[in-house]
Amino acid sequence: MALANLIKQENIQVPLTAKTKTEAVCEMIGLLNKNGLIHDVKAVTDAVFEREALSSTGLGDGIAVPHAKTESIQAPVLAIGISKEGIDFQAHDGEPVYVIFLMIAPKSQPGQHIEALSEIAKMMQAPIVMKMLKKADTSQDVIDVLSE
Amino acid sequence: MKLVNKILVYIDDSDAAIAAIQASILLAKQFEAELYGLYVINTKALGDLVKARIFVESEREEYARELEEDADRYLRLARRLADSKKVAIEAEKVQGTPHSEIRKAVEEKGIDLLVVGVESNRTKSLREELHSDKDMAMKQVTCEVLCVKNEERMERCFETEEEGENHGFGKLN
Repeated sequence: MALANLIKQENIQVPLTAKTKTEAVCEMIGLLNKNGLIHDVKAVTDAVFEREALSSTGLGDGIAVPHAKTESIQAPVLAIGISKEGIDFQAHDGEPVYVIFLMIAPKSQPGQHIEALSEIAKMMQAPIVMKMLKKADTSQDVIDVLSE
Repeated sequence: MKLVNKILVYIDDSDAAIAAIQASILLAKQFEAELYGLYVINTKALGDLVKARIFVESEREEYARELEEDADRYLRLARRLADSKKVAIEAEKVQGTPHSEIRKAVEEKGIDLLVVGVESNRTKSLREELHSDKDMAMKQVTCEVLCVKNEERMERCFETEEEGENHGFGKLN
């Protein structure tokens, strides 16, 4: 399952109300939980922060890609959050993060997870896309940018 | 002259790949063609994810191990399905970039037909289309390409396959 199949308007939060990295991750996991895609919130949250403990997924240029694998879900899920004020994600360039892709994948089907993350990595190489995502005011704006 | 002598099916861990395996087996049987299977462990993507800092080194190693196991699982499945229809398949896993490895296999083995599973409900952006390994492979190979989209139909065809039945593929030889 590649990125396009994972992007669902109901899993996009614009703007994020979170002010911190922890709040942002929890807000996005909460969104996936509210939409019935994640049931074991604690397991998923723990998995994401275990991964963050290895190294921040604040990649620079205002983008973060927190991710984790867990046995508590059956299929990969993606949430996208846009922060208008910027969040300190302990990013590698020290700059605030505005665009967050949160991906949670099951422990099976590693190829599909890698394919989706690779597509995010490729998209990051297009600065105009990231610039437009930062400017998105609604979830539909995000869909429009990613569908171009 | 036979239309198809050698078939290559591209195998990954998608549901569509299973339909592609089934289609390739049925076609190999009807054409009496040689059948090859290829699973590409996408080491290029793993490297790119480390470069992009999405993965740390320990994740790359963990995913590489998991992809190896995944490849073995899907190749076993391909061999089992082929065996169930008494079709020989030479299935292997390689490391690299999927579209490059597919193109290489097509050229080296003299493949006439590449079979690829494609998720029919996918709506892709132009950007994604340009970067998709399957799409790049389909564009780059010089042989014919069959996209298998209808997983349910293929499952039915495979389950009901009988000697001499051609499941709507028509006269193939």
